[in-house]
Amino acid sequence: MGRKTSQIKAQMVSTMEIPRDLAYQEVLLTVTGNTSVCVENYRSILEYTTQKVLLLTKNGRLQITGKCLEIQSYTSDEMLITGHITEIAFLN
Amino acid sequence: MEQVVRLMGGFVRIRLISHTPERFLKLCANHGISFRHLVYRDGSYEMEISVRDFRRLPPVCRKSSSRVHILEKTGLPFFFYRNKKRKAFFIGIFFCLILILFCSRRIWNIHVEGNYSYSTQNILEYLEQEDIIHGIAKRKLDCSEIAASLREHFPDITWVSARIQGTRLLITVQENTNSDQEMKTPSEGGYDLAADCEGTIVHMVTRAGVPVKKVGEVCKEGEILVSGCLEILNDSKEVVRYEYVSADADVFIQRQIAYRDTFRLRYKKRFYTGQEHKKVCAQIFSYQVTLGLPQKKFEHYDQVSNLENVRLTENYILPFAGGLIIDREYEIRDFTYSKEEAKALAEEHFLNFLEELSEKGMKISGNDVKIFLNDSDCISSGNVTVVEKIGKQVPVQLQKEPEERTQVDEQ
Repeated sequence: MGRKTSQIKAQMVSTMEIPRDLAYQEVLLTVTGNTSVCVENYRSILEYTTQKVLLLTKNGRLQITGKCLEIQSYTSDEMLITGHITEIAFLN
Repeated sequence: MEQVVRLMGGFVRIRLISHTPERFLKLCANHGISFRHLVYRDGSYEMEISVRDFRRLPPVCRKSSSRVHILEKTGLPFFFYRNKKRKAFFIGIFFCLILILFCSRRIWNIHVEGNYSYSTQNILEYLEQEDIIHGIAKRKLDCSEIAASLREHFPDITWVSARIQGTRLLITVQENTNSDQEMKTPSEGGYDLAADCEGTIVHMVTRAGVPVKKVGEVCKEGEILVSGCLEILNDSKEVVRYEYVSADADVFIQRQIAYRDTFRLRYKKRFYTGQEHKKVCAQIFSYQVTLGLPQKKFEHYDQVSNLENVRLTENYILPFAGGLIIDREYEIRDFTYSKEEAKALAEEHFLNFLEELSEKGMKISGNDVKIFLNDSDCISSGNVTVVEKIGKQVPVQLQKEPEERTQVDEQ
């Protein structure tokens, strides 16, 4: 996508007030305290252990670290991770 | 709810054995296969998956070179499969469903609300006479007919709504609370205001009608206080005709009420010894069965029964009851009031009497009640002066209409 095209797209998104997660397929995180995080718009799981969940998103990788991590529900649209979450990081 | 749906459909807990678990998970997401409770344990992944999704797993396993082991099967399909040899159990479930179906087609609770003067029991008894009882089939009920018959049978009920909600028959009624006022409204002619007791008039305000008595006059029972007959006069002060109204006035009279109260100074009183016998009791229809070991009967005792009827719903009471019966022993002992106690009791009786008068709307303006004691009795006597509002409406005596003078002239 050229620079001009992306500029036009950004302008349209801004004018039409379309949420960025819909327009750019950006990852959407809903964090509840440090016990659960709901991830939407992810592509796939790259790695999963009880200490770390590494997800692939459109703009890079998302790493959730903690203790006793468990994937409560897993569908193609969203994923609910529970446990003791200590860090959420975007890796590029 | 979600959990119930999962249990109905059934789900399995599986262990994934794969070199590329991430590929397996990605393929599952692409195929629309969802998991729950995915955990990493002992170098492998464990997850819960529905039976429907489990049947779609083989191509995913083939592509990702994975194998799955079933660890646990949960849900209704597995429960039925495990208990397939227990025929009586399934017959029981079948009959239970039939029973639920049968019961849901009948009325098990008749709820009445909005009633004040007619008790719920009265209304239920009437409905029972009309064969509307607990357990009646819904198809036999006609709500509009029930409402009409209730209105007809209970004249003070002005509005009735009957509706069926589930297995409940809800009856909402509205009663006529202004019946007295309506009775007083004159249909033809008018009403006089008459005295309903004897006394001296101390205050009088007339709103409608012609006052017959004045303040300071003595009125006797039945005497007219305010007349409802109005004389219409012409310029020559002659009566042209009569008009009738419903006389309305506030008339207060002062009168004396005699008070006498006597009680004996020596009296008998129950003295409870604290001994009790408790018995468990069951009642079926009118037959009572007492459970427990036989005990020595008291000479004097009070019996307190605390029986609770078995009820299926709010008003559906079965003829079975159970509870506790307690016998409390007492002795009858003689006591004598002291002078002070007797006076205090006499005063208490007198105050109660004054309170009763106040509740009837009377104002106490004075009293000359004396309390005195003799050897055996305490006697209170005297008069209480009260001011009270009187007046009752009586139909007016219709007057003969005067003949018109113009007609006389013409003749």
